[in-house]
Amino acid sequence: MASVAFNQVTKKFGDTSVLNGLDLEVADGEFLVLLGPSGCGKTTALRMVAGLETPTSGTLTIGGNVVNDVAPQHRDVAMVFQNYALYPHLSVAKNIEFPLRQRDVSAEVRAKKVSEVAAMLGLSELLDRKPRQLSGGQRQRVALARAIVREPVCFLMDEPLSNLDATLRARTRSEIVRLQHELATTTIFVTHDQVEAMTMGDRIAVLNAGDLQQVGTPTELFENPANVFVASFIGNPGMSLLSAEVEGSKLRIGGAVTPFGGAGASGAVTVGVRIDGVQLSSSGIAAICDGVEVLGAEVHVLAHIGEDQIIVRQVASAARPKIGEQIFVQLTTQPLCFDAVTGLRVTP
Amino acid sequence: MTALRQRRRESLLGLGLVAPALILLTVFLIYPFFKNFTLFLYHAPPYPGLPSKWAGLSQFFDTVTSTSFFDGLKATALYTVLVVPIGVFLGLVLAVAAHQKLKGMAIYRTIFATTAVSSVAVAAIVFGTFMNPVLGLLPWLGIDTNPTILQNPTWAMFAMAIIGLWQFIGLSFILFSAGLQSLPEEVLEAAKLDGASPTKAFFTVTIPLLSPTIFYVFTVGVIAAMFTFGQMDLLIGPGASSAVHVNTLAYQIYQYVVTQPNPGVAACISIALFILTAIVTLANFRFLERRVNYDV
Repeated sequence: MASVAFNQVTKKFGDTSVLNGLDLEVADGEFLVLLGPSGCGKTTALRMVAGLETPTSGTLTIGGNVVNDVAPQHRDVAMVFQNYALYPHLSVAKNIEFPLRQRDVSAEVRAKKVSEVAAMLGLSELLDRKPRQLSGGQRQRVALARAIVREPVCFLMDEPLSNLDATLRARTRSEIVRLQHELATTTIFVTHDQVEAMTMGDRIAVLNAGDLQQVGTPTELFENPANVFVASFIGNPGMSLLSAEVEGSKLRIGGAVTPFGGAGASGAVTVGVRIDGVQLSSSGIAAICDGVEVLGAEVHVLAHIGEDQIIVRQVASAARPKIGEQIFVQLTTQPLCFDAVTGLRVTP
Repeated sequence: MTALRQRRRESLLGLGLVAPALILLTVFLIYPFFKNFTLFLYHAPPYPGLPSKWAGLSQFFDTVTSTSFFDGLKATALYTVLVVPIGVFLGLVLAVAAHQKLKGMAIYRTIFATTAVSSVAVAAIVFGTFMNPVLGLLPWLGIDTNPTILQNPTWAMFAMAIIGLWQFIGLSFILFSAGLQSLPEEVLEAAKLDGASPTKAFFTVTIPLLSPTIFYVFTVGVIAAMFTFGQMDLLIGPGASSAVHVNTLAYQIYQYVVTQPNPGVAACISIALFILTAIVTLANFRFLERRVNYDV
């Protein structure tokens, strides 16, 4: 096991900058999730740890050693790819033992380790099959087994759950977390799915357009987003962002005035409201209903205030507004306040 | 009624679209193929216009048991053995070299692939010049050119094989390049991360994944080699080809059609060559395809 650190790491492909001076430390044994939309640079960052990409500038360390020029086969890291990348011509057993064979581990030890790992991941019955004879979930487990069997210093996982159906994804999620806790191996997990990030990671690093937005525990990111990007990306649904004007101890949103206790903010701001911090009411901020999403026990009312979208929760039994109908919403908690220009958090 | 008319119109359109290809296939492939089976049953008349004489299978057996057929068989086999394995190997080596992400590789790729699109006439002129006893490279390299390499019974076939190899490497290179580009990148990256050195990764992952291409190149190469005669005709000619052991079966067919017309014998050799090619191809499938991995 080892820590991993990015020190001012930049990656450019030609003139296109994919990663801009990334500073990030992953502690020994930590489960860190790299989260962000497509093209944000998260997979590039992971591939640099693997040695499949070379940083344009900056240093990358594994276990305190600079590895910028170390070949992938000498880094002792294991990677689980999005499409699993199993060797199609080899059986499950031979796939799992492949890394051991490269290290000239004796046949006896190989057989013992393969059997242990296969038992751990429920693959014992499938050892003689070829990858094409396996389901997506089984292939995923073989890829995990191949990564685990050689006890690397770090696991790298590149959206390994994205090809699984919803039920299997939820099950595999908890399985990976359980395994990581059992093995206590440093893990970097790349995903664009914030639910995966929130449920799996000890910490989450949010990336956007090659820049690190914020690093923290899932709760920190949910409760104290550093900027509007993190606020809108984390949480399901994401935070509603509304243009507002701070007037002393009052906040003007869409023509309505509501009390505001946020110190330090003034003038034009963007306020962030979670679905739990707003409710439908008979008066307050006027909005136009855009639609209703029925989710079983509750209903989400989608509306807009001027140009801004807002989501409000409603109990399933309440009368549902019609599309185009005017509704009123009221803030029930102090909203988070962001600079209207930079998008950075200004209060509290 | 309308539906029936519509279907008929679609059928006619389909037939119309297929017709040009069908006509070409019939005229140049299907008709000659079956015509061959009638030709080999008759002795060719001594003078044009006279009736052909029924020969039955005797002409075929006489032809395939003749010394010249046996010599042709040996020449064809030697040429195939010299060209195909080396061509497959070198094509693969060059494709792997050109697959590296290095600057200027596009130029090398173009150069390597050019030989595949050069005609046998061009290849014969280039190599004929190289091997020329006065103007060529051989005297300059200190090699005795008396007799000239093309008149030397020991080396003439090697000279023909070098020309064939030069042409086959281009095709082999193109097919292997396409094969390498279609390999799943992630699997090769996984091998690196699993600790495989470039050499080990090549033999344990790349080669098995490339095995369908290797099998295809080998099979196509064998078939093409068994039908070669262009460079023999252009550089040595029918008169001397037997003496220097380059009178391949395909060249014998050409000679029995063009230089000393005897369509019956030509048909017999072509049927024998067809049967031999089928046997070799089936043997390839039977013994080599077992090792091919089609899983991706």
